[in-house]
Amino acid sequence: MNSVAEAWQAVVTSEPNGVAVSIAGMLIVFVSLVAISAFIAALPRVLELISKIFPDSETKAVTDHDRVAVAIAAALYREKYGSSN
Amino acid sequence: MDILLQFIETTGFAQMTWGNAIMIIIGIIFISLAVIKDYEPLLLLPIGFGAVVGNIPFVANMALGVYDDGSVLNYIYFGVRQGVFPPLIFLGIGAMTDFSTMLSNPKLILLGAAAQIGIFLTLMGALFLGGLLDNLSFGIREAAAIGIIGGADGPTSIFLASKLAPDLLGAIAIAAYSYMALVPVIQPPIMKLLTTKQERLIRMKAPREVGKREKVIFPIAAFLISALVVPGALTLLGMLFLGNLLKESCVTERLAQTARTSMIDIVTILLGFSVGASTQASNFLTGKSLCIFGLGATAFCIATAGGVLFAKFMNLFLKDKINPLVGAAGVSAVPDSARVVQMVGQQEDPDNFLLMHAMAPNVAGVIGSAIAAGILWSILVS
Repeated sequence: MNSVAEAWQAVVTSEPNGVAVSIAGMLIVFVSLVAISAFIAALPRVLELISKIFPDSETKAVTDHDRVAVAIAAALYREKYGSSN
Repeated sequence: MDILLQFIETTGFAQMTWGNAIMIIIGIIFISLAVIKDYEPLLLLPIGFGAVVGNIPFVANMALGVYDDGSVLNYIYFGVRQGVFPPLIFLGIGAMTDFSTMLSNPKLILLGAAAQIGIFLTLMGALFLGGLLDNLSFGIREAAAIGIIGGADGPTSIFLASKLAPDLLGAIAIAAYSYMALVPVIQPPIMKLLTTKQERLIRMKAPREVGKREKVIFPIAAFLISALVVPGALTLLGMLFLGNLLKESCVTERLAQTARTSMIDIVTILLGFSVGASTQASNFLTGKSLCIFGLGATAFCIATAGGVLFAKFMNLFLKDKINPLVGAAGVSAVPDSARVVQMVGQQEDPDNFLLMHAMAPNVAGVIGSAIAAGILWSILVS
C-alpha cells in the first residue's frame, strides 16, 4: 500500500490530469443543462409571441362563429325540449 | 469406455471451478432478488440468468462463450461491445418519458446537473485508489468508465465502458444495474441524513400545464443545444430525443408505441442476457471488479448527496422552495429514484405528492449523465 501523497500523485499526474478532467467535465455538464433550462424558461414567452402571429388550435380565441354556433344550438334545444327554467 | 471418459471430462461438472460456482450462485441471487423482492426484475432476471449461462464451463474449442469469435453469444454481445444497444434503449426511454414536469419547472434541471458530481468525484476516486494500492491501478480511461456508474444510468455506463474500457465492461454493467436495483436501499438513509424534518415537509407548487408546441419543440432544441456542445453524446441523446419526438408529435404513434414496448423489451433482453453472460469467472472475479463495486457504491452515494445538497443550496435563493428530497432524483435511475423521493416524502407527510416534481430532475439526470459520458469520451478518446 502506498502513501496518500503518492496516491494523490496518481490523480494529478494522469494524462490528462484527473482533477482538470473532473472540473472541466462538471462545468460543461452544468453549462449544457443551464442552457437547456434557460431555453425552456424562455420558450413559453417566445411561443406567446409566435402564437400572436400564427395562432394554433391550443391558443385560438373563441371566434364569433363559435358563439353563433353555440347560440343556435341552445335555441334549437329550447325549441325542441323547452326551457328547463 | 475411452469415449465415455473423454465425454465426462467435457461436462460442466468436470470443468467447474470455484469461480464458476460463485458466479452461478450470484446469478441465482440476482434472479431471486428479481422474483422475490421485485428489484429491477426486467434487468436483474436476464442478467442473472446470463451470469448462470456464461459460467457453465465448456470445451475450449467449442466457441460457445461471449468472448469466442463466431459464437451465438458473441454475436449478441456485439450490441454491447460496440455500444449498439444503449442508444436503442434510449430511443425507448425517450418514447415513454413525459418531459412536462421538467418543462413546467426548468430550474429543477439543475438538480440533474448537480447529481453528476458523483461521476467526476468517483473518477478521481478511482485514480486515487489505483495509486494507493500496489498491485492494482486504473488508467484515466478506466477511471472515467467506472465514474459513469455514478450517473445511475445502465445504458450510458455500458456505452462509455464499451468505448473507454472494454475489459471492464462486464463489471461496470453489473455494478451499474445492481446499484440501480438497490436505489430504494441506498438512497433513503442519505436523503434523511442530509435533510431536516422541516425540509422534508416542504410542499411544492403544482406544475403548470405544458402546451403541445413546447413538448414538440423541446426534443429538437434540447438535442441541438446538447449535441452541439458535446457531440460525443449525440448517439445517446439523438435517440432519446427522437423517441420523445415520436411520442409528442402525435403523428407517429405507431412508431412511438413500438419503441417504448416491443423494441425496448427486445433490446433489454439481449443486453441483460449478454452482459450477464460476459461475467465469466476468469474475467470477472478479480480485484478490479471488487474495486469497481466499491467505487460504484461510492459514486451512487455522492451523486445522491450532490443532488440533495444542491437543492438546499438553491433554496437559499428561491422564493418558492424546493423540497430537497427531490434532488436525490437527479441520479437518473428513471423512475426508481423519483419513486424513492415520493416514498421518503410520504413517510413525513402522507399527503405530499413529490413524484411529479421528482420526475423533472430524474429525466434531467438522464440527459446530464449522457452529456457527462459524451464529455469523457470526447476528452479521453485520443
